[in-house]
Amino acid sequence: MDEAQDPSDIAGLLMATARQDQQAFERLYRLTSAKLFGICKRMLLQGTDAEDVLQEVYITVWAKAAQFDAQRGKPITWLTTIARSKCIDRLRLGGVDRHMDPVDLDQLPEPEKTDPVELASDQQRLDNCLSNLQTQHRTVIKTAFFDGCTYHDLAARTGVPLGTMKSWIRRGLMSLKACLEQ
Amino acid sequence: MNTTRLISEEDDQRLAEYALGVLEADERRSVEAQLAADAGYAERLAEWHAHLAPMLAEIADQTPPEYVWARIRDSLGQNPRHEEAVRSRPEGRGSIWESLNAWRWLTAGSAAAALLMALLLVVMLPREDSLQPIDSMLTAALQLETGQVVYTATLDASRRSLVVVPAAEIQLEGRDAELWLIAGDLPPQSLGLLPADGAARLAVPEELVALANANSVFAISLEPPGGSPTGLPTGPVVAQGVLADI
Repeated sequence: MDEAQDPSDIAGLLMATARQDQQAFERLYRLTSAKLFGICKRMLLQGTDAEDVLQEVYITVWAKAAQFDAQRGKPITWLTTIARSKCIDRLRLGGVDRHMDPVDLDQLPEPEKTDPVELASDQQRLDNCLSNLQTQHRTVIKTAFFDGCTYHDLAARTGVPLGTMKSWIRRGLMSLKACLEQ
Repeated sequence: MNTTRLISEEDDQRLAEYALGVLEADERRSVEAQLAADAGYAERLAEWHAHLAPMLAEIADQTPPEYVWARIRDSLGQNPRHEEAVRSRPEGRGSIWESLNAWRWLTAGSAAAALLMALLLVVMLPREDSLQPIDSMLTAALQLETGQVVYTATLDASRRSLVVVPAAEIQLEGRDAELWLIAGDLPPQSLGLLPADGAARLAVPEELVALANANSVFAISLEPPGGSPTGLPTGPVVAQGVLADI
């Protein structure tokens, strides 16, 4: 283990984890598990399901840490992507409770909360692009992202026909792309 | 970096839908097959994830219970630095009743004995759990000989289901991966075939649920397509892991 390593350096901890450094892996867990568990609890309604998936997430991180490429993105995004992906896979597998409550299509944007960790400027840019979307498109995109639900579930939860839902999401995503990549 | 020009509009839309999380399981598997075959797709998907990730700032952090770390560490076979006590699951199904029973019993003792027992209780709870198989969850990390974890398997006795999630790729070489339960001195019991990619939920017959306990072993053998013709493993055992209570 590298004694000089900055304990808050997630990329460094991931690279040490790739070398099977157990202490670095534990530090990585201490540093990032609250964020990833917040995501799991948001996507999976049952706390025990969230705990099971969080365990799978870190077993995957241990096994795949070598695949993290600092050139290709932020380490925290690499981790949150694994967490969301595992939650979505668990939701698709069935046998767990999922978000099924009706969605109010005209809901106002949620009060903004700023994450102090490295996301701030990207967050402003995405907020700005999301605010350019039609309210309904923005609402269903955010619901899909946070609840991990399928087109079918979104259609059922909003009472909007499936075809319309697909077109809303796709148009919303392509507008986001145009806005974020201009 | 923007690789969007290398990818058709239609594929880019699919990757965006994948990153957002609206696709069904089979659609996700087909995107993942494309990702594995084409590094450009994977790079583009990483860009979509990065585009959407800032929304996660809206989710408040939540510190997981301490026993989750102990479970992770146990399932990877890493040296525990924590006491046995942290493995208990305080809000787990059944444990409240066990606590109540224990406390009811404790009231019979003196205050000093109660204090002592309160300390012991924390250590005893996990064992109490194991007396109630119907409520138990057993988990195993299945590892290759090299120690690499390739699957995690969680047996939920109350739901009689086994969730198997891949953690890394496994070389099948045209064969099927079959999962086995090895308990005590009994011959291996087949739990079914694992899909080549993606997670699986396997229904487990009640008699096999009853057999499984901490220290049973899950093993994966490579079998001819369709599974072992004999009902016992015929091919090489490529991964295995010991079940542990969670």
